[in-house]
Amino acid sequence: MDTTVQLGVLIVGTIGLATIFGTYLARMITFEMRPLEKTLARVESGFYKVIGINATRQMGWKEYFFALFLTNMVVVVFVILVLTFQNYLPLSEGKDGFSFDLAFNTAVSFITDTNLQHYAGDQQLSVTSHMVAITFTMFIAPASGIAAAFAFIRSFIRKNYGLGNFYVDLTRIIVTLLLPVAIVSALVLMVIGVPQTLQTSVETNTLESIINNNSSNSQTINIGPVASLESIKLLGTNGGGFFVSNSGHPFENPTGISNMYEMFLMLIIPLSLPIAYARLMGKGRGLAILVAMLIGFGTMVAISTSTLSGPLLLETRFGSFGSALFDTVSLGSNTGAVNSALAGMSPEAITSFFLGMFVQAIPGAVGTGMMTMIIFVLLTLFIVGLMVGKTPEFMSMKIGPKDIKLAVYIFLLHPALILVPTVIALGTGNAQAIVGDQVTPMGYTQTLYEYTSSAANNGSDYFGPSADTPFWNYSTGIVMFLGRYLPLALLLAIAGSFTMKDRKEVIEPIKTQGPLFITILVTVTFLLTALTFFPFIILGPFSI
Amino acid sequence: MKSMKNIDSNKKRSLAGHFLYNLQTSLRILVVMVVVLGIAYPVILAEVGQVTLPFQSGGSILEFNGQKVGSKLIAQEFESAKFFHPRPPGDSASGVDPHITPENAYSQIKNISDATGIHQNSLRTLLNLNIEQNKVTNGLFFAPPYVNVLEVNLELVQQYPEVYDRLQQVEKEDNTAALNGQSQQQQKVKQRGENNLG
Repeated sequence: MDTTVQLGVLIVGTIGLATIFGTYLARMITFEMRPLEKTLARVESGFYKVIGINATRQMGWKEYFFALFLTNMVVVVFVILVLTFQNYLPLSEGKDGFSFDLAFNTAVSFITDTNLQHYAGDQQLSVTSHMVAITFTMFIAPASGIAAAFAFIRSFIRKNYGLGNFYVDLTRIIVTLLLPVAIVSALVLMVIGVPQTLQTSVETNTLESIINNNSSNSQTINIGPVASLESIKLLGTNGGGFFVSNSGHPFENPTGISNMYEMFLMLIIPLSLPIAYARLMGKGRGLAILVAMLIGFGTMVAISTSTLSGPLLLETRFGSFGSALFDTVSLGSNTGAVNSALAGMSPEAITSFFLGMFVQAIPGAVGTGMMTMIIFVLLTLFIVGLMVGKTPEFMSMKIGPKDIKLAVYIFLLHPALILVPTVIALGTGNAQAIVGDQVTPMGYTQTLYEYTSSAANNGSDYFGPSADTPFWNYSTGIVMFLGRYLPLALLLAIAGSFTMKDRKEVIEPIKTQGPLFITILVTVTFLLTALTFFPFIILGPFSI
Repeated sequence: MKSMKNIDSNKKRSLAGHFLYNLQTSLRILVVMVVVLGIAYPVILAEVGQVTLPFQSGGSILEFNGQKVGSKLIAQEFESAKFFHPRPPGDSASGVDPHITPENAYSQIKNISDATGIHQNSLRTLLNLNIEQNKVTNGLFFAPPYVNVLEVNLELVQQYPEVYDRLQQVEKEDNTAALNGQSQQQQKVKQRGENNLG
């Protein structure tokens, strides 16, 4: 009963919210009238003026990517500086600066929307670092991903006009989408019980110490600006927790209601983008992408809840189903904020998590999830086109060899970024330093998971602060970096190619909508993923 | 050849100019957004929280006899046999959740009844009340049934002041009977372990 209600509320609630947000996003992409347009436009132009953005300037794909990359790298340098020298900044409360390798890992991790954490937030980060380095970056990273998706969608609409202006998109996405929703959500979470204060800790007695009149027996409870971090952590599919146990900690996720609300937050934007796409490119095409995502996500839920997890290493207030569902949402949307310890989850659940990170598009992270699904559409069109002997077309545009090559690069990059470093880590003994000299299927799974999570820009992991060594910090940092910017560059290159193409109003040889296409799309996506990764899943979670 | 060179140098200059233009914009975005998102957003919310939701935003700290007794959401150790006990810290994901399953709580009833003399049925009623209360907190369907250990123990102390008033003396006697400081030392070690878990 409970499980049915939870699943039902989750699906109906997120699709309902996504319909509203999808319409709004579609208007943002094409600069149409939104509700409160006058006010929003005034606020936006205020920001353009202060920042000095020429809002009419259009960018080609190279310039768009360059602007995105440069803005992100400026943030990386800033975050590294803040973390390394946090002990000299206000409100440091005696917390040491990060080592360079840990600061590098953390900066790259947060700007790439990964949020892999090799540190314990409440113990190692000052309030200033939590706000200025972490919370701030949690806006820039998803806004960059959504901006890239905006440019990507525009390439199908506009011919030879430019993909938009990155700075304009970034500002609008932050000011009129992420920030308002984050503020409301932070308030909702605060009502439910998530703390929000600039204090770092509270000293209290315990019940027994009061009764025994022995006030020395006191406890220190770490708190801080948790709610403001929590809301954007989930809304932007970031996933980096304030506490080590992330959304498992009672201060980040106090009740079953907050658990459901946080799942909403993770799914809203990833599911809104296909709806925005449907508004702009035709209902059927958008629905096909949305349904394919939901079939993939449904498969993940079915696998992860098929066996009971825990109760060891799970939170009592969520239980097996609440933990598996939350983690599946988090892994499917590439957020990475789990509400249980991964080690407490059943091997089936772990397999399902791997599936989410391998596909990266069911529904995937904000922005990149939808783009990745369109890459699967292109690959499907190519494969089906070969079968029926017709030149594949997408949106009445011919798909050239160059587009397919770029799409295949994007697809092949992912396994390369996962498997090569996994082999290196196991071959050099760096993995063994954490998982033990005897590499069991569990130890192998943990190593594979670390790099899969990094390459997919997910961020959940088994290791946590135990991987705070130069090898792990640098290697996962590089994987996260390549796993973010190479696909983004290739995706924008595809957009650049599409925006130059001739559009002909002819009947497409293979329609990218309808049940038949959805079935083929899901099958091809599953086959490609399975063929690439199955051996490694069999060695890992299947053998636990 | 000459003209080619000119074009080349023009291109280079424009590339450098291009880079500088974008770098300047990126830096301005950094400054503006750090102020808005990194400072104003969390600080204003903290202020709003202090005024409108002081209990939650301060960490849901409960009070007993005018003293802070811990957070409603964070587990604390109970040594005495007269209290319900949370899960061992290593057993859950956070290690600090104060919640236990109803089965776990029911299984502790007999020991507590033996130690306090409180009737088993009364303890059971107390647990059921807490379970019902938590159900409402979780919108009936969004969490499995559970018991909040700290809330239940607080309730016990408030309902049976005479039983828990004597806790202090009884334990002091126990300590003198043991005639060594070992148990105290163990307590300290345990506490340190807890602090590390955060």
